[in-house]
Amino acid sequence: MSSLRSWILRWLTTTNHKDIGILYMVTAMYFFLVAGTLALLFRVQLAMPESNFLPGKAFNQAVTVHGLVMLLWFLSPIQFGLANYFVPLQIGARDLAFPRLNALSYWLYLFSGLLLIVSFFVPGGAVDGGWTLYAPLNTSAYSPSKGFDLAVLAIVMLSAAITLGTVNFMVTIAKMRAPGMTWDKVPMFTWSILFTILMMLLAFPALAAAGILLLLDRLLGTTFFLSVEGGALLWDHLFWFFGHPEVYILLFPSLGMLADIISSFTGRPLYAKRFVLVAFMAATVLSYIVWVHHMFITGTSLLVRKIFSVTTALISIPFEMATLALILTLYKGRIRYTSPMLFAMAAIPLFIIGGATGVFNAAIILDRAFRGTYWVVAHFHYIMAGTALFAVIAGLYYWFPKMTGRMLSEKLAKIQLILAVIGINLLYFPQFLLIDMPRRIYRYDYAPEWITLNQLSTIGAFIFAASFVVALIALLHGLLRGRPSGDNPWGAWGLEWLTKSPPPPHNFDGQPVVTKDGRILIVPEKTLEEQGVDKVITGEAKVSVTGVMTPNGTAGHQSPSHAHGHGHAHAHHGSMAPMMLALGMFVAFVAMPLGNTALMALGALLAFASIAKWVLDEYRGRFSEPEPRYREEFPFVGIDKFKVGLWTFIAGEGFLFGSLVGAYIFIRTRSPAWTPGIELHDVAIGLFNTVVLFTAALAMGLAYYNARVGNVGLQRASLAFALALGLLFMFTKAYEWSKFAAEGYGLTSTMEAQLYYTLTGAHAAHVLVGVIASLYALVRSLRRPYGPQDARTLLYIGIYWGIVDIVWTFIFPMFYLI
Amino acid sequence: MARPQLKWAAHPPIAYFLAWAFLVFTALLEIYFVAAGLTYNTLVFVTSVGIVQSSVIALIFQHLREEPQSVKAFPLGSLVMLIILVSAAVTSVLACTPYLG
Repeated sequence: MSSLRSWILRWLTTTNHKDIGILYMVTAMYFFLVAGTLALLFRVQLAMPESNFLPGKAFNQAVTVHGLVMLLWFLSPIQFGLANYFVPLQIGARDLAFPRLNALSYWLYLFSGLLLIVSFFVPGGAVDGGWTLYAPLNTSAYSPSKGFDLAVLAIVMLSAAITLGTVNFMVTIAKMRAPGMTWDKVPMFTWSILFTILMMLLAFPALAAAGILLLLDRLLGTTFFLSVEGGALLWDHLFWFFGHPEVYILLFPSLGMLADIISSFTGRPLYAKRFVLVAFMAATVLSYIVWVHHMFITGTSLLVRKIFSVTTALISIPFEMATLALILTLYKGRIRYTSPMLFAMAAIPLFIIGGATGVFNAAIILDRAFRGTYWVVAHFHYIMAGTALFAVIAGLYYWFPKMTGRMLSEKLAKIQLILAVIGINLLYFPQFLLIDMPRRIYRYDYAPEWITLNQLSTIGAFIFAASFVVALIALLHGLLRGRPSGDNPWGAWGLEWLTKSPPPPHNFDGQPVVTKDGRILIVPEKTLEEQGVDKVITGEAKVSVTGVMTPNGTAGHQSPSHAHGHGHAHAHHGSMAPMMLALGMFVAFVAMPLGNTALMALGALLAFASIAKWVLDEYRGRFSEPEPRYREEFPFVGIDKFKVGLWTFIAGEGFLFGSLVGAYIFIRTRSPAWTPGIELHDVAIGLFNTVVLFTAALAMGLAYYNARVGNVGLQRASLAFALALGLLFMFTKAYEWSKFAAEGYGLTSTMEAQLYYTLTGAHAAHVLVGVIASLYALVRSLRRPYGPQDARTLLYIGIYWGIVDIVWTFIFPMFYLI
Repeated sequence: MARPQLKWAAHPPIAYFLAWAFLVFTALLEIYFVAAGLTYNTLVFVTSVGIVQSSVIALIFQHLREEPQSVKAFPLGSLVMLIILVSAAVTSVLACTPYLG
């Protein structure tokens, strides 16, 4: 019993990247099961033109939740499950940069998904507005179900999880690579994750902003998406600014996996790797300037449509380059037809079909004809269920031996492949021929010519589903009865194959080093100390190693008996706080639309208690995770990981505010009349708060300075002053709000008021975080003053205050002057 | 290869006070110009003031001027992307808004 208890506790409190990776993968598979079952249900409905198996609302709920779960709670999370497990291994790190934050990301992801699932059981049922949640259908005027509220809350919660994840991966990949692992030696999967998080960092804040505005509409009665000034177009811009990069967010990790797998099973490095990286970079940038092609029929001008038509056509080029590189890697390679390789090879033609059919949609006229039909469904699913999912299966099979120490049954995997290839093509190819069938209908008794194609599609769906039953059997069989795999069963190249299967908690028995000539070594840290890491990288020092792999991958071996204990200490930091924090948010969010204030308070209490525990642990230094002693960290050489993480986070926050300010500009531009702020608001109050915020930044600067020069008294006084100013700002804001409310200028009174309360409210929430951080710093300073060694904490709080000030420099004139 | 420490000597408290005074002064000036109707294009004016104030905050209070290019790239890169996106969105809106005429 106690072993069961400790087993459960381990999974609830783990912060190890491999455990979290497994949690992500298992959870994502559960969500896949849910979304897949929903897909089968609506395919059954569509098999007969007059079926009532899944009528009206139920059909809409199934389609909507299927789409949302597959994209946001299955595909991306399972890729990031693999990334959690393998990115640190591929770059020779012992964990992600911020393990507790990683755990929090996972728990927020899990509970956000459960929030969506719970929505099936609340009054009105689950969300049913289509996965794009188009306005004004997404407002409570047209979709009053509480389940819809829960879905939007789930999306906002997931956005928070993803933002934290992006910070973690950015810092890990940028700053924790093994010595000698320069950027050109970073494996493609890790590269693909880097590009993916760059897209996530800027795309998800737009979704979060859209979600926040929608929540205000649904829960507090604003009309951002109901009004003429905002409405459907505002939603479209915010949603598709997220939505189109999201396609590449889902695709990139899969392409990275394909590159690594094809390289391993052809015995050749990826053809033209540098060009592929340039292509990835181009696609990352272009992904942000193609979103209007989803809005060609919304009334944008012809010029704008032409521009976005060109950018959309352009973005196909990087992917053509990547596909060619994969094919040319196969050319003349000594291909080994293992199950991962077969899935990877199957993904390429599916990608070509899906990609080529997408190019048509770049043409304005064709897009007008195709949109809303099953052509688009087929195109999209060839990319997502074809390329991305096949690559994920290939990745799972490729790394399964490393994760479990056991081999999968090749026979079962190949049976799955055959079923999957037949299933997916039978499922989606007929949908290209259903080019005249609208995609959002559940009956079609007026068009008998669609029956056969729909029935073929439904049969394909069941064959495709059967392939995953075989996959599940293969995974369980491999786990329980698979033969031992050894450390490198594929003879593959890469750091992850130089450690045990499954890897130990500290990942490597020594320090991984990549030499200039491309060899990977596992060197005892003591040897590195004695010989100097630079000499080991250049090959000048002859060192005894515990593992070595040559560039052609043929001479890999490992001698665990030589393993030393030096530097292997991996902090086993279990913490319940991340799970409890996410659970608290889950409870509060479930209660919010239901109006259960007691439950909401309980959830909030749990969340705040968890934050307090987190801060207390931080204060006691329980989770100090020192940066690796030997590492490759260009271009952030000598820069603290917290600083890199903070700036990454701030970039995301900037985009959140940018999206909200964008919404302001959008609404104001479309408003026929607008009362200038200078006539509406009290400039004196605005100016007072402006000076208060500037002074708070000054106080934090002085606190930092006095910590550096060792003046404890002035350090404490400055911190107390910064805290007092933060509180003064909050009180002034509260006074101003209550004064306005008393005058009848409430949240829902006018569009100006809606924007004013929303933006200043979002800003005030950030000031509150600054106040809490300052309070922490003051308490810490009173007990243990900051000195030159740890003054950086005050610098970071100052940087945060800075961003609060910067946002205010735009909000102030927006509402008080113009 | 260790990065040089922050050039602390370049940051006596006087720099903070000067930056603070500049920010307060520009805020007052901004109000005066808008209230007196002295701006040619108010939106451009307040945006420009906001950018100048933000730059001062970033350089002095967030110590960006002492940071290497790689750190500066975060806010600068984000700002550039933000400007592109907001411009693209506003352009597309302006091109279809029913209130333009």
